[in-house]
Amino acid sequence: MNTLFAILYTGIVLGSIFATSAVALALIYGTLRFLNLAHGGFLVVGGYVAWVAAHGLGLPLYAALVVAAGAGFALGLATYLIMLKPLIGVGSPRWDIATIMASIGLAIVIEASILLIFGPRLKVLPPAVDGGFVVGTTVIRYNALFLGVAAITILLATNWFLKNSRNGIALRAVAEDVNAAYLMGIPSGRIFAVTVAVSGALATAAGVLLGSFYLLRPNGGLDPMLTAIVVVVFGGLGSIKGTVVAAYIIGFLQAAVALVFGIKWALPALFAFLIVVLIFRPYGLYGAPEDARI
Amino acid sequence: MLRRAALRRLAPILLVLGTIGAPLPFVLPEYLTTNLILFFVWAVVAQSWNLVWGVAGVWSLGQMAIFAMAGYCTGWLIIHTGISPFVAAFFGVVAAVATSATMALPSIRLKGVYVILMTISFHEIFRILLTTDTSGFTGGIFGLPHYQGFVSDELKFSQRTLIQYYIGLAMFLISTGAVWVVLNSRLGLAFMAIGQSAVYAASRGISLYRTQVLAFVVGGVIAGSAGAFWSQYFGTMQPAVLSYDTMVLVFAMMVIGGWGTFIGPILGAFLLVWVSELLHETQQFRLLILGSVIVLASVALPDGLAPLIEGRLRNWRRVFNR
Repeated sequence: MNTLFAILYTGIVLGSIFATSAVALALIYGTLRFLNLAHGGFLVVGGYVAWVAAHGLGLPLYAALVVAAGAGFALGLATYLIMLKPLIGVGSPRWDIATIMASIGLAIVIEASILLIFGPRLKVLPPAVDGGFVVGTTVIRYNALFLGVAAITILLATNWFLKNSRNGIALRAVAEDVNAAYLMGIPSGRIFAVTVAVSGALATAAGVLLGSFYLLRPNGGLDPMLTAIVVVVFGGLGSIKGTVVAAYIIGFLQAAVALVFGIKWALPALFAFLIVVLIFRPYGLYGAPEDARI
Repeated sequence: MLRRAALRRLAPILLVLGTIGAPLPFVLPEYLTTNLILFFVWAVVAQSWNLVWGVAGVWSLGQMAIFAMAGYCTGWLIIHTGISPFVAAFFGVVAAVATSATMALPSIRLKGVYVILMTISFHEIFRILLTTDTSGFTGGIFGLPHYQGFVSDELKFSQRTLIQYYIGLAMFLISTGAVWVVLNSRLGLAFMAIGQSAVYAASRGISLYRTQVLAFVVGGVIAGSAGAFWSQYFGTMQPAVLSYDTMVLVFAMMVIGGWGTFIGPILGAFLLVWVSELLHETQQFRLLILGSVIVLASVALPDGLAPLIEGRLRNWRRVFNR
């Protein structure tokens, strides 16, 4: 019973955070067919920007979260302008390979810069709320609850943005069919820029949440990025709804494996799960077979 | 069924590479010789990767796992069974091919980016199981303890390096020749066909299933040889060969050199081994510069360097033939 409750609690919090992180990846893949392997770098940037905002400027964690999201927006925009825009129009296999390679390069640049500026030591983000309470044998931290609520708020805001704002609607149109959207007068270039920027903001925000749940390390983005990739694939690459559902399933799975078998098995179990998913349901929960684009 | 003209051009290519390679250890300082040995290994892995990814268009990131499997198997057999390192290396390559084929079976049902995810899952499971292994079977995070490779440990370091250099050179020349032969055979044509348009190739009677499995097998043999060589050269095997950084480095060699071309991976391996050696002097800025180079290269030259070089070569040939 206690284990079950612990799994439930960790699964909900982790699932919400994973969803935020994975939606960033799904958004960008759905619109640009760009598998952002610098996602881990974005997460780490978010954590460190929040750390500077919290310790340097003395801001509370929720304000630091906003600052980090702003930085992520700018970083995403810069990434689009420098790295992706010159490559648009080069054709399918070339686009995929070049963008994957470039994003790997970007990830290396980000990690190296963080290492140069902040050094290799672990950093701790201040909790938004101190304290907690005990249910059975499970310690519930108020801060973890805050992180879960923040993640869900971010997800709802993203949903609102996609469903109601002009840019969001245009983004979904481009994601569905870039040529049809173009013919309807949607400036696809601008929408690509908006997508990468919003995705950057989401990723850095998720990075703050992750950094507050765990700790900050310059190379701490790799494992959460792999988790996010598993989530996105399980949900069906590019499907936002699928991504969110998958995030909670993966969150529970990871919490269950870590609590029952030990933390060492969490990632291998995740990848074994991914292999099974790819064998039996290659397009994920909500995905559909797709063609190349751009 | 090899095209004659292609076969005739193989000999001069190997001869040129061989005559450049053979006297180098006597000319260069020792640390550059060891660097060249590394170049041989990475060039061979990049070539095998290029066959699978660049030519056959199967986006597999499993090449380093295949490489590591060959290395671990070689080392483990030398330690635990006491058989000759040469036999162990042979079984290492066999293990690599088996791994490669195992990876191929679930991957070939998938397309594009899903293949990346499938193969990286294999890679990650292998890596995590290795690093967290506490049973002593693989030595866990510390790797396999030291064992003796092809060359006796009793020789001096410089002599060993010299012999290993020639073994490495031979391996490099044989693999390069093998890749050239494959690329110019019917099989290579089939690889190129499924890489460029799988649907069209299939409708012209090329079995996607068979061709992709063969790409994995051929890639496995070549990457496995490099892994077995690596294992016996260093006389140890560590999970670091499966690290993200190593994978990125070798992958970057293929992409920056020019995927899908013959000369590309060799060029990329040479360039990156050299660049990362030069960058040792910049110390803490090394990764920053390397990352920037990768970003710039892939944005400015999405096809890699090889098309530039090959265009230049074609011009020269036109001049000579006139």
